[in-house]
Amino acid sequence: MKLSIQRYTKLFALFGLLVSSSLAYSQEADDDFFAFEEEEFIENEIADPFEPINRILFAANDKLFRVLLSPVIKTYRLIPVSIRLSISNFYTNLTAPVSAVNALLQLDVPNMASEASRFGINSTVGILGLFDPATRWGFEQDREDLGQTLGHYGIGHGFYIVLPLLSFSSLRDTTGRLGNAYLNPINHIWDPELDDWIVYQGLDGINDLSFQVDNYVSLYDSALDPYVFFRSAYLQTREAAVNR
Amino acid sequence: MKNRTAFSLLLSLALSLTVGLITPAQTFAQYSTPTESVQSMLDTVFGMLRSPDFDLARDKESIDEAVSVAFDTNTIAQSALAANYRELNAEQRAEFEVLFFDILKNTYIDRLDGYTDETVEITGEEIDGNRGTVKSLVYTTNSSISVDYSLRQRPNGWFIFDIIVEDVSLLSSYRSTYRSIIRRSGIDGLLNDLRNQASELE
Repeated sequence: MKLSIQRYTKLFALFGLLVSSSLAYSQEADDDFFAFEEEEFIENEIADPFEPINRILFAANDKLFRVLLSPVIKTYRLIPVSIRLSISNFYTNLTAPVSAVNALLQLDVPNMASEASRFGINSTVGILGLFDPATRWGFEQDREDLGQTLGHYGIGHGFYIVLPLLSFSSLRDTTGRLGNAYLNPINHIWDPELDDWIVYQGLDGINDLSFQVDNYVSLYDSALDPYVFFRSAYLQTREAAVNR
Repeated sequence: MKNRTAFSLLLSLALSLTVGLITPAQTFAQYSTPTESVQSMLDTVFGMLRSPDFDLARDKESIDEAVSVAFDTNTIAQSALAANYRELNAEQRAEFEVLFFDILKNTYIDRLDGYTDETVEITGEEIDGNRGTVKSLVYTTNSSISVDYSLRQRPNGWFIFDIIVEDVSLLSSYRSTYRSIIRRSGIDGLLNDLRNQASELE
C-alpha cells in the first residue's frame, strides 16, 4: 500500500469537495430513503461451490482476451462496419429457430410465429441471413434459449460456472447451451472438420467483440473484485431475460 | 449480441456516472422532472463530445461540471454498501466515498473518446413517490440498447443514482462486489482493498 504525497493531496482535495457539498446540502432524509431502497435490492446470489476453479478460468479468459484477442480485434475492426454487420446477421439468423422452438416451449405463440417468420424472411430475402429485412417489416428479434425456458418453468441456476473461452454460465444455462446447439440448423446441414469448426465459432466471437468499444477492460479495472462483478452482471442479465 | 453490446453501453454510462461523481453538485441543479434531469445531462455531454474541436484533455473539466449536476453522489455511495453502510463510522464513510469515486473516475474518465456515434432517445418516464425512472434507447451501429436511469427526488430536483443497461444495474453489480469483500475481510478489508486499487490506478 503506497500512498504518495501527491495522492494524499488529491484525496484531501476531493474530501474537501465532498465535505463542502455535504455542508451545502442537508442529508437528513438519507436514512429513510435507504431503508426503502434495501428491500428492492436484487440479491443476485448464486451457489458457487467451484469458485476457486471458476476464478482460475475467469483469470485465464481475461488473459486470453487481453493478450491474444485484443490485438486481433483491433486489426479485425479494419473491416467495414457493413460487412461486420452482415456477418453478425448471419450468425444471429441461425439462432432464430432456437428462439422459435423455445418460445413454443414457453407457450409464447406470437413470439414463436415472429421468430419463425424472421428465419423464413431473412434466410431468403435476406440472402442466407446476411441482411435483416424482417426487423424492418415489424418482426423484431426477441431471443429465447433453452436456459430461459428452464428458468421460465422455475428451474434455478443450480450453480455458477465459468466456461473456458465462452465465459459466464450456470449449470442450467450450460445444459441449455447443449440444447441450443442441437436446435441450431447449422449443426444439421454442416459436418465440419474440427479446425473449420473452430474458425466458424471464432469468427462469430471476434466479430461480435469487434462491435464493443474497449469497455470490458474499464469495467474489469474498476470492479475491485471483477469476478464477483461480472457474476452479478451475468445473473442480472439472465434473470431479466427469463422474466421478459 | 444485444447482451454483449450491453457491456459497452454499461461502460459508456458508468463513465458519465463517474464523471458526475467528481464534483457533487446537488447544490446547484434545479430539474423539476426526472426526464428533464437526464435529458439535460445527455444534451450537454453529447453536445460536447460531438463538437468538432472536442479535446478530452482540455474539456475534461467542463464535462465533469456538466454531468455532475445530474448525479446524487451521496445516495450512490450508500447504495453501493447497502446495509453495511450503517456499520461505517463517519470517517470511514468519507474515506469510502472518496476512494470509490476516485477509482471510478480514474478508470473511466480517459475513455470518453469514441462515444460519438450513439444517439439516444428517451422513451418513457415513471414516477413512484420520491423515486423516478427514465427509460431510454441508445442506438449504436448495430443495435439498440435499453438504458434506464433511476432517480431520486431531493428538495432541489431529481438526481440520478443508478444506471441500468440492458437489465444490468451498475450499482447492483458494484454492491455485490463490495458485499462479498466485506463478508470475507470486513469493512477494514474493503477499505484496504480500495486504497490499494486506488494507488495502483494512480
